[in-house]
Amino acid sequence: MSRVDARLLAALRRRLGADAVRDDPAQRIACESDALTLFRSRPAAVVAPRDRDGLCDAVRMLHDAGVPFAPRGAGTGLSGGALPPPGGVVLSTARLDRIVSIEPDVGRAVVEPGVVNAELSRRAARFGLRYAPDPASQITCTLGGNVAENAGGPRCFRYGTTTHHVLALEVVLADGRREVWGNPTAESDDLDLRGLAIGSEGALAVVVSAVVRLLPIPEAVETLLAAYPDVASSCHAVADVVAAGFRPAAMEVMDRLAIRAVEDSHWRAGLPTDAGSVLIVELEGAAERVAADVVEVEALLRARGPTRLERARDEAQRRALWKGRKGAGGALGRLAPDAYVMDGVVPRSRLAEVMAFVAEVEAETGLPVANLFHAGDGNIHPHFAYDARDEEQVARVERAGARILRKCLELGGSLSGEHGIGLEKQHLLELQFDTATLEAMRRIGAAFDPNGVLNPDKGLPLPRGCAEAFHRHGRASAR
Amino acid sequence: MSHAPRPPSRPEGRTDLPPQPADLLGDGLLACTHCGLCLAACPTHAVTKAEAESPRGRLFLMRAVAEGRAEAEAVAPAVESCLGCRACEPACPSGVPYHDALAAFRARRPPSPTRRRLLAVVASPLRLRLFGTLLRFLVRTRLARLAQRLGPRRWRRAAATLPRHVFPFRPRPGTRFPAEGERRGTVHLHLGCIHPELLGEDLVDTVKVLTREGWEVVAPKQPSCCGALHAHAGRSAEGAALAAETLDALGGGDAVVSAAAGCAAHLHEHDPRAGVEELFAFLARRGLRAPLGPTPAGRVVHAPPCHLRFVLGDDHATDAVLARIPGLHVERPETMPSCCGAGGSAFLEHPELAADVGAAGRDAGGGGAPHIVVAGNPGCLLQWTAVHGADPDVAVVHPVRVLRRAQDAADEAAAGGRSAAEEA
Ligand SMILES: Cc1cc2nc3c(=O)[nH]c(=O)nc-3n(C[C@H](O)[C@H](O)[C@H](O)COP(=O)(O)OP(=O)(O)OC[C@H]3O[C@@H](n4cnc5c(N)ncnc54)[C@H](O)[C@@H]3O)c2cc1C
Ligand code: SF4
Ligand code: SF4
Repeated sequence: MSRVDARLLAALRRRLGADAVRDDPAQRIACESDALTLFRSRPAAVVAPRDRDGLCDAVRMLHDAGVPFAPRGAGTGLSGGALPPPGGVVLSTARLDRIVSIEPDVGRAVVEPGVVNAELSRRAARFGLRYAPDPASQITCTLGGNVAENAGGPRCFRYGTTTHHVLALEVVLADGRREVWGNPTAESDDLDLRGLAIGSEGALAVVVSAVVRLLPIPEAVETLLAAYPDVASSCHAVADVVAAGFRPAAMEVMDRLAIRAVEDSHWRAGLPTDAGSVLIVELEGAAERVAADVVEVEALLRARGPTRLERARDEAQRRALWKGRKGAGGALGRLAPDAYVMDGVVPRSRLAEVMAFVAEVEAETGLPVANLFHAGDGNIHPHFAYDARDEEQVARVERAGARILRKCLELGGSLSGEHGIGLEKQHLLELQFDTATLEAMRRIGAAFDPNGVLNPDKGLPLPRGCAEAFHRHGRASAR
Repeated sequence: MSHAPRPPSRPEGRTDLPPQPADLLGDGLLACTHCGLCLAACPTHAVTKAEAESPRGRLFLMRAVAEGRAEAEAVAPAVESCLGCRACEPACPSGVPYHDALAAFRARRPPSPTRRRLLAVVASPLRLRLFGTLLRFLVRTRLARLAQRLGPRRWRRAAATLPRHVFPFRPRPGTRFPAEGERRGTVHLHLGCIHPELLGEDLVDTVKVLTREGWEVVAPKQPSCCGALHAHAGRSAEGAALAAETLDALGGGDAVVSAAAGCAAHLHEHDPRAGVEELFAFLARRGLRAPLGPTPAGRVVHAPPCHLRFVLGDDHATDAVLARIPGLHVERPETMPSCCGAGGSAFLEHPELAADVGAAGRDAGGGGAPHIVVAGNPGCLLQWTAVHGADPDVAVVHPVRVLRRAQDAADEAAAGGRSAAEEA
């Protein structure tokens, strides 16, 4: 693998403009990490093309020079996906932030990869439409990053993750070839290359633009807040609601520590700080239907013995609740210098069980764990609060994380709900997949990127020890 | 310059979360979890889209310096391009005290020559007056226009910020302006530094509006600068000393009012108990009494100063007061950047960035259509003047000037009504 040299940088600058190729220390250091600061890798340069042609040319030039690179959207990823290997380059799509078109009559938009998720919904709102997937990071994260991680969010319980909302992708392959995958007018094509790209963590192709589905903003919405003395009650209530056949837009659970972090912050939402957990259930759809359902769902929630049960009075309170929920991850910064956000999945019926296990691990580890999760999907996010400057704590957190993920697999779940494998879970892949599957994944990667320049080592299984090449926090100080 | 590192602040701490570990980094850097939720709020990130020019990026760089992984000088350009608007603070769920971190970073480095000169000017009454006289001379002789076209690049942008009409307003210290009608109390008026030198008409109108509202206005002898620019430049101790002096000088009335949101914010933060109020917040709280008539202003775009929004949280008072003017349509464009780009003295040091941020504001305000941009802070007014340049369709003024016109209109209508009645 070659290195970035002055000639390559000069050529990139000639093609993309000087402001698009930056190798000063500040730019490089700032892109060392995504939202998972457990890993750091300092890029040799940050390349940020201004338009789609520039993006494709940059890919080709880096490929031809043999320089590995990692695409980066907003860097809110939680698995180290946007980190290039040592000597590599960050290829930022953040400036490709144009909404190319919105076609209200067919419910479709064409977007560049750097368009921010919430911005698309904001712009679509004037047509009565919205982009359904709503990751908690939606005010910042990009659609390119969403595609690469197949991002979910509270609403995805009902509407499905990113893959259900992307009709077609214009991509550039590692060697600079530009292709369209998928069919903008139909759900699927013969060979679902579109599906292959979604969730591939930027390791198969770079998204140049995307055709996404926009859905009508529902006529009515009701948001329920139930507080319970413990986490298990919330989990049971969720199972009850689904078993009774309801499809709420979202069902989110927060435990006591998460509630307190939010209530301690600017984003406080008026949650009861003495509760063991809160469950937020949102129902939406046609007005009549919602009005009928909300009563029945309330009865189900009441049956599990809440200490408080209420409906959001108005839009302002509804917004405050969601803002609180979406800020909860960030608010946990109040607990300790660093947070390690885990992502695992279990069948919904096993939620209470896995949460009990998390509590056990928390007690053994001695580090505080806050929980907020997409309960409808069985997607858990334990947040460990720790201090990354203490190597021993880092090791404890990593061990605890691995144990929880093993438990998820044992209970019939999977390693990642929505944050991806990235660098974080490389070493665990073989627990979920057998050798043949892993080998198939490797071969798919090699087929699209034989030279291994495009976000190498992500998502796909690595030879053991490769991830060690990336600097882990705690071990990386002398730089 | 000494700066005592403070523990991470927990401004709202109401619940009993475990305390963070005692720690060497100080300045609240460790409270940042690198989640990125603040990126959307940042005006510099909005235009460059560079991680290093975002709040999270700057905090990460400052932390890298504190941990010895980077040289302060090497990362300084990106950190220093911060406008100090503080939009990132309310956006942060973790409550990172961003401005403390930035102030501490700035305090450890020598200020840039531009900043040093500017601070030296504003802090000395004599130098400030000479500087004001020079600027007024440049504007009146049209030399400023010439510099804007022909001068070296650095001058052009600075010259572009100068308003086309300049007017000094320096009442003799202690001057009293009597209340009209029934007296409601005495307001001690903060004048500011560059405001009375260049945009004195704002202060004349402030006095007029307040006295018509029934307030006696006094302009006590006061320091030539409240220290806001010093604090912005990381010279917290000087900023605090000047604020203390200013508050001392302004005490003793029923209220202390400033027509400059940036100064009001700095004075408020220095000592919230001193009760300094931004002009429109003051008017909104006490209630309007004087009648308002229709003005021909038409469409008004409010671009609230960042510190009015993010430090004082009083920005809606301006909209509320202006909304009382018959026929006036006040807009707050959703996509208006959180800062105009002036950022203390940043517009002199990073003219290109300031211009890009300003241009984003111009686009948000709906460029082409004729309108008035109002912003209640002298720094913003200079920046918006540069942004809109020679556009004949756009006027840039302090909101108090619109309010004064509306009061005049009501007065004239009343006078017209009276004379008509007399004639009949
Ligand atoms: C507070 C917080 C809350 C979150 N909540 C959720 C949530 O509710 N649901 C959820 O699913 N995730 C969540 N996340 C994780 C994260 O926001 C998502 O994974 C998001 O999709 C990442 O988008 P990004 O633009 O930040 O991508 P980045 O972090 O920049 O990149 C992520 C991956 O995408 C690749 N990539 C980026 N752009 C492209 C492109 N144009 N082409 C190809 N590959 C590309 C990168 O190489 C990398 O592998 C959360 C994160 C945070 C910090
Ligand atoms: S400053 Fe706050 S919002 Fe920004 S990255 Fe840090 S924790 Fe998140
Ligand atoms: S103070 Fe303003 S310019 Fe500086 S980082 Fe925060 S939001 Fe950006």
